[in-house]
Amino acid sequence: MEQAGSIKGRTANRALRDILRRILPHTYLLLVLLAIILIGNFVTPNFLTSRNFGNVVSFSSIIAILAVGQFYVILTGGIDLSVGAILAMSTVIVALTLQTGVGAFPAVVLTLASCAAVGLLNGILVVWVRIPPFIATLAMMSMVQGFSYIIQSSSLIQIDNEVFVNWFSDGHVLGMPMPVLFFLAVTAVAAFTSRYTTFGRRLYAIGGNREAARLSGLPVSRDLLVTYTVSGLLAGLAGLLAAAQLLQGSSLVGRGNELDAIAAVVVGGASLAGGNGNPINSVIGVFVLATIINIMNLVGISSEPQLVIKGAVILIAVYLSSAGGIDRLSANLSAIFGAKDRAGETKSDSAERS
Amino acid sequence: MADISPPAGLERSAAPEHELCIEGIAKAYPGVKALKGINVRVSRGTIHGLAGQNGAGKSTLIKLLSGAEQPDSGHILLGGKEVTLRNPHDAQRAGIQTIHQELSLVPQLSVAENIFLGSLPQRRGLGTVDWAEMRSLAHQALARIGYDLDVRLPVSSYSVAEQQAVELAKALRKKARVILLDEPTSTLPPPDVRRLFQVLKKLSSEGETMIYISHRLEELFELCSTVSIMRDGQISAHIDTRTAKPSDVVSAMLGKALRGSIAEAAQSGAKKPRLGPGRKDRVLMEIEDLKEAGKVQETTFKLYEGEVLGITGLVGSGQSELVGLLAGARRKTGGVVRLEGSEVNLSSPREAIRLGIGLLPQDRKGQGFIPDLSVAENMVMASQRMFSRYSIMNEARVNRVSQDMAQRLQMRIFGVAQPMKTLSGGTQQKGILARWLIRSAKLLICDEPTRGVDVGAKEEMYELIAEFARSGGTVIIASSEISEAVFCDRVLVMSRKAVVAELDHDDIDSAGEAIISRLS
Repeated sequence: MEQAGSIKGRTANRALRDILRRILPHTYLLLVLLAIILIGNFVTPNFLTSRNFGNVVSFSSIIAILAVGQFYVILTGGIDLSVGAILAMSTVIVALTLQTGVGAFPAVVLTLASCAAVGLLNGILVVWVRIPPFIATLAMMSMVQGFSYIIQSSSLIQIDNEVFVNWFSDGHVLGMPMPVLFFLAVTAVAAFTSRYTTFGRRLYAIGGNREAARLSGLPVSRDLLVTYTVSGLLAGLAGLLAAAQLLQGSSLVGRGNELDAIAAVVVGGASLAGGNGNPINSVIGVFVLATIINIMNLVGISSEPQLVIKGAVILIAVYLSSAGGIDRLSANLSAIFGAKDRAGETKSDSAERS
Repeated sequence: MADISPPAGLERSAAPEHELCIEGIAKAYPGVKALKGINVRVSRGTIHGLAGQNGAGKSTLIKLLSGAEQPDSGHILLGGKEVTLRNPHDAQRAGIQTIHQELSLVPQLSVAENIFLGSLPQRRGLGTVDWAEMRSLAHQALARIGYDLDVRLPVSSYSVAEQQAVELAKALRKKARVILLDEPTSTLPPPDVRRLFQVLKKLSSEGETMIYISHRLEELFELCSTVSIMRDGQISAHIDTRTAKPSDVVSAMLGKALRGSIAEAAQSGAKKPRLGPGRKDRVLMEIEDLKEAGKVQETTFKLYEGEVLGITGLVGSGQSELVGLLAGARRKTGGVVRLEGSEVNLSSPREAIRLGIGLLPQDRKGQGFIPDLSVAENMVMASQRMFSRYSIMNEARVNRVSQDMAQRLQMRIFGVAQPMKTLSGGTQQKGILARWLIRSAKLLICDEPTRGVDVGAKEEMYELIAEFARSGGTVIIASSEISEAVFCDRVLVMSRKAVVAELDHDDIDSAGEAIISRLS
């Protein structure tokens, strides 16, 4: 009944559709970022300069590190609202300890340990006390803000430890500024962990179906504790970068950064219900948002309209990724390539199945 | 006996006595053609039976008729007029009222509010709720079907049977051209079933039209004049219950391919095959006074190595909870479990799995697998340590082992990278079974192992369980299907959260009467 030629043509069409369907959801974010960069280049000559590029990257490093931690929490189906506050606490603690005259290394260790401890506390509240993540971390955000303010006791604390500033801001390794190096390392480790390690795969399982994960014998509670601890730790690291950039510790920095991180994660295609997404896309999400804001700054749009535009960008990006808009678009696209043999396709599908 | 309907075009001249005509309804899901052109005509004032095995397409048809989903093609005619049901609201307005297996009542609200949900009687002028009017109308609606409840109490304070009556009253209060009853007896004890049947017969004699969905033959023969049998997304026969025999229904449900199979025996009760090789003398597990407050009463029994032990009872009799305790999925409140002589603390699934106990959960979608992850990942879920070194997964090995397993279990998949959610129920069930085979579990606990899988997959599931037992494994099957329990080497019968009888395979007649007599 069917001609050999049409079968061949059909397979070619189908392969093309398969490729579109598979590739599009994964690379569209990069394409979007590329498009934004092209637009930036078009509207202002100051955009594609190495100085501006450096600015965007070092500003984004901090949010990117927060976003990686946030991604892991969101992957498990939770949320961490306390990371902005932890970031501020990190700047305060490191500034205070450096002020006492101890070396940069113990100051950093103490700071990171305290931030990880706050993360662990979040985890305990969520896992053992069984408070929903939104509430637990919201309360923690308030407590950590208050705590930072109390220990800070003066308006701000200057940082003049050169070793510390060198490590987290001014230094270069292999020609790359330290903040960039930190965020690249964090992203690389996170990407590897989520894809190739038992821990990473367990997080997908826990976010995908927590009860099934529990019944399969996965250490759900332990993994959740680790996840919240890591999120706190990464917020602490982001705080160190911020402190070294600002040369001060202040309980007022980082306000709202948790929302930037969450926005980046969802722009990166992760669903707030958990179980999908990947950290690299979250980081790309950070750059998409940061680049747009940078362009708006360069062309002189004032900060109020910027907020409106930023909100719109988040909505569009989430429509395209998490809300399945990109799937619908690519389905429509692929339909153009061969709506006619759809019937044939379902037929052969069911043949392969039975 | 098999009067296959003529093609849709010929039915346009549907006689006026047909309250509901379904013409050429088709529906496909990704990878599955759930309905392949269904034609059914339901005469006014009758109870029309709809039967078929799990996976035959019954639930899809219900979804289409209740407006939950839309057909790809075909027509639905109500009282001779074509209707389009875009959502449940449309369906109810058109007059199709569905009583789902899972009742759709709001437990906290009063009986009266539930009956009038969505259209509470209002006082003129103010627009406030007219409570007095609502209560008296609700009382009348219940009286029509012979129930006298205090309509002010919350629905949750009544039994399942009474809640079902509330649901029925709710359906009747609206304009009901056709009432769809989806397996209404599956959660009812026998005396309540009798009462429900009286109500349904009375309603039918008053001119109400109903579609009664069930896979229990005796119910269909008692209530319905015509039974449409579904198989594999099609109507395989319309059967006149005055002339047909139950065996006609069974063969129409199962098709020729499965004659003589375990599944057929399960359905017809004609033969009584056996899944296990029979018990050996070594005790694998000793359960002593095991209980969970409010869920399972003190239970004591021994589990022998190599046997297939059935635990049966009506839905909700405690069999699921009991096996949940043994799999570590639930927490016991008392009692002792000894495995191979030494006391074990089954405090979590993780611990149970470490001891070699694997669970096939009842709610496959909610508890069985991770929908977005691949078949391969779902299979190795419980054995990460076997497939990793320094916490890094060996993906090549994961793929190799899961491919072998998929082949061994004859899973119908494109590849092990396929997301689990895209598979059919039976194939998903095999994927979960594979998880325990890979983990080399020695005790497999199956909670309603064939719920929601199609006939063919059911047969394969039985084969796989039998093979697992033959190769030395021990199996516990918790099942509310008595016809399934009769295959086991030994059966514990549960009623009201307690084990009330223990029967050996040879003591059970093929129809399971020995079990049924102990149920209520």
